[in-house]
Amino acid sequence: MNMTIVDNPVLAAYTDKKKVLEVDRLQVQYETPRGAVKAVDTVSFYLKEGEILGLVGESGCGKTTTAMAVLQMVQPPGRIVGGQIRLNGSELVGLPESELRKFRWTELALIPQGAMNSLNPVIKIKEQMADAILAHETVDKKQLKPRILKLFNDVGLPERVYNMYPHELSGGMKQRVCIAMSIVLNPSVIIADEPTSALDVVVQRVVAQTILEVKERLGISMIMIGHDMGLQAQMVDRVAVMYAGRLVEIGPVENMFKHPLHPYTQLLIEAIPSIAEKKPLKVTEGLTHDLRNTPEGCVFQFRCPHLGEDCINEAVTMHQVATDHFVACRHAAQRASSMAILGGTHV
Amino acid sequence: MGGLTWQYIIRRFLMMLLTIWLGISLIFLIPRLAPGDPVTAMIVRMTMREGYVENAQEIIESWKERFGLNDPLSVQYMKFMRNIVVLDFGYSLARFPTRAWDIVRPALPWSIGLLSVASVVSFIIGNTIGALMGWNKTPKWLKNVLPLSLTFTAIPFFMFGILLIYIVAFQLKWLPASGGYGRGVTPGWNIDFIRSVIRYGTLPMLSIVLTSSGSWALGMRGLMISANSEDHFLLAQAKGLKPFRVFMRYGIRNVITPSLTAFALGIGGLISGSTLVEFIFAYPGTGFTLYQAIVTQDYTVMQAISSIMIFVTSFSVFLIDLLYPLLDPRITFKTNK
Amino acid sequence: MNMQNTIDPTDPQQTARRFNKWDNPWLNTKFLIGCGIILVVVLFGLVGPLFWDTNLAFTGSSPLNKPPVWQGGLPEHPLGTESNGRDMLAQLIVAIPSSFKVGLIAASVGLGVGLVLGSLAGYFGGFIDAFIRTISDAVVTIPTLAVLIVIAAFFPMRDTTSMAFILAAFAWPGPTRIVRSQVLSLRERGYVRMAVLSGESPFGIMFREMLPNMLPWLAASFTGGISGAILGATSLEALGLGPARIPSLGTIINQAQVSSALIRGMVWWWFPPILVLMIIFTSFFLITTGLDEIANPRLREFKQQ
Repeated sequence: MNMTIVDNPVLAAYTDKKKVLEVDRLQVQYETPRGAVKAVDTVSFYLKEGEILGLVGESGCGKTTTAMAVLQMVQPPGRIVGGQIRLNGSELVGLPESELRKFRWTELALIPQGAMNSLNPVIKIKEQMADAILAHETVDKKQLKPRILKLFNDVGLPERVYNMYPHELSGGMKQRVCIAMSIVLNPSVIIADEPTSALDVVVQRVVAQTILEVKERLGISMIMIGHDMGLQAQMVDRVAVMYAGRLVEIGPVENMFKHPLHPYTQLLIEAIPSIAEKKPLKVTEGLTHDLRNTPEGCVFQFRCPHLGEDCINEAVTMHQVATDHFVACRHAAQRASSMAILGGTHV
Repeated sequence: MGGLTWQYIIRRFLMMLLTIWLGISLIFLIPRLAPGDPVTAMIVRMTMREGYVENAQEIIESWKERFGLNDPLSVQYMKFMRNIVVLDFGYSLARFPTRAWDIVRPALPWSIGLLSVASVVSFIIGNTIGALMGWNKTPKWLKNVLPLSLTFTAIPFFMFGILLIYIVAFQLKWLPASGGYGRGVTPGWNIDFIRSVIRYGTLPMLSIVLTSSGSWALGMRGLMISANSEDHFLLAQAKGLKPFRVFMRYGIRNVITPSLTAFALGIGGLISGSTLVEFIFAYPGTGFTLYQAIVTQDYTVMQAISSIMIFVTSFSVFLIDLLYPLLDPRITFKTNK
Repeated sequence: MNMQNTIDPTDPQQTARRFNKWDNPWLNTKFLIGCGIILVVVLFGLVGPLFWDTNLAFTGSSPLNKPPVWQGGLPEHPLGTESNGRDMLAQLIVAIPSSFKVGLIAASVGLGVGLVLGSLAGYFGGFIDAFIRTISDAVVTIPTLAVLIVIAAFFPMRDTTSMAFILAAFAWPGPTRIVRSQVLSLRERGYVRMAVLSGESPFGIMFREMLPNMLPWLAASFTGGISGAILGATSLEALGLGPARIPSLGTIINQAQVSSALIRGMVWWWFPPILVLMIIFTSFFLITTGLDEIANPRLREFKQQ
């Protein structure tokens, strides 16, 4: 799998700013007794320095698996079967664990979903923060406490958290501990896996703000996974939409929300209830197909309202409709160029 | 200190007292369910077997004095309980006028020594093997070899002991087959004695360790398998921590408590099993003393040993209970709410 | 992949069919092997009397101390005899059903009591739960042998049935604990709540909704109970406290030990009962481990395609 960047139009298209992360034709499969499931099917995208890329889709679409693949933490029976992942130019796929550990947390960190279980319940917070640091740097033990306390300050946590156990903290506080833990070594990329899903609305806002502040101050690039479109709209710069293991559309957030091109994206946007106007709740028909039997043609063919003959049999590629905007649907791409609204728009 | 609170300590202490009380009451009750009073029943049985019992009258007298014979049951119960607390179990029937406690006392250190070493060793070995079998980062070859160590898990300790005696002591003549220490050795804190004790204690200890490790191993394996997929375990890997550290602090540390529960539950079985091991090896502990008491129909000594077994088990469980909050601070937190 | 030849992806029924018919969780290797061996052992004990004279198990019925046939013994006593004049083969044939009888009775009673107490504790909670739990914890902590010995000393056990019931008195805490934890976790499941809402009686709920889901755990507890009861009975017998008339595996060991069979090199005396017991215990162990795997899918060995 040694195809160069030039061969991947999606990655080659953008050359303005620095790309901290490039995912090149990633393929992840799960072996089950009932066949191999293609959880991530030839997905390509890039992450620009200093931006937040939202990764959305319904449950089971492969967004978490993609993120885990970037972190090189796909659990068996899943494994990466193809593609490359380049972090600041370094290839991650295929590296032995001992090499990977140099990147872990120092360049690439994770804010996990559900901090309830992500913090070790039997160890104090201070030790969990400290071992992340000590695993990669030799630091004088006396320096640890002030360093960690400063981080707590940055995310708005009181000092007493230092000596507490996870079960003594509220959900929002635990999530902020996870945020603090993720920035402790100033990584280039942070993957935030639905960081606010398990929280109530008020706390959600606080945590979301904390994430944005931290990102601005430290200039970290982020991939934010979620299925709350409203939250995504407020936080991210670009959005990538996945369906059944494939990327269907990726583009700047405003364009995606105002003029969604892919039929699936349109369904997602339309499903958002609106405070402004009273309209009936739009429910998307149908179920996702069996991922063991991925079709030759478009992955959305079983639910697409605009199905055409060619959609069933011909393979689909990403079509560029603007500098930073791609759609996996030739009909949508045609419609976009004829609309001319998006001509020349780029971030 | 972790999550240790006074409330918790007192509660577990009361539980220990309850267990002891329940067991001792059973020991009190059972002889008195037989017709007649307990000591006469014992004497009668002995007479049937031996033909004539020396000192029968003195035995009955001393018993009447200590525990009461014709007093109402409640009075007998109070006297019994009071005496138990001061470890007065009456006189040995077979070796009157030696006190029952004086027969049991010298055997105690042997049993406690054997048991504590054997149980700690098998717990550590068993859990380590089990954790390695369950951890997802263990090298494949190790994972295939380890199950072999579990072959003897289901077998009772003493049967394995018999096999060990046959193979190691008789055929290979590597270690002695019975006894606590060698014949020409004087007991005391000298090197010869200590070395002899270790030599003679090895086979009994091995009988216990090689067979009981298996149950800890299997339990730990299941626990470790579920720990592998815990979120904090995965996050620890994502943080780039060294695999060994992840294994110990995010794996074992988190699942050791259920294993400890199983250990506490198994102590009764461990003590019962080691009694039989001592019988097989003629190892001078309480187990062997018990067997001798059975053979000589020395009921007072039997009762004394049974009571001691109950004390020791309950106390050990209490000690383990104290370990819990140190390992898992959530335990007292939950119950305090 | 041609669409016509493969399963219709949108048909939920079709995708639910098992890929491999041999994937049924109850076809667990360990479980089956264990069951098979136990069956063989039980058959040996049940069918044995048809082929061998069990009267030879009585004291003094056979010549003394004869080694097995392949060590120069008599052909009419293929496994040899011991110093009380009993034929070894006859003893084994009689002893096996005896041991199993004890195990079955004790485990059944223990399971029955455990079902009742555990369901009460788990379902109703509160004081009932605290009471049952405390008592069962106390009983479990008490070393069974200690009390059993006192019982056996004052009430010499004449037959295996009475010993079985006494053993059952210590067999109930285990099943109680298991049933209780199962009921506690199942109580919160959706279908149980539906049953409660639709007005089913507590007993109806326990039997119809919960019991079928507890089967692997109950089965594991039952087989563990049989194993434990056989162990308890054998321990008592090995110390010389068991019923003396009918030989059981433990009493054979006791006789061998008391007669110093080990030192006298009479391997054919002390080894066969140990071997049979090892086989029995290991098989039950396989069954219980297999049942554990059936109950908890994550423990199953995953076979690569």
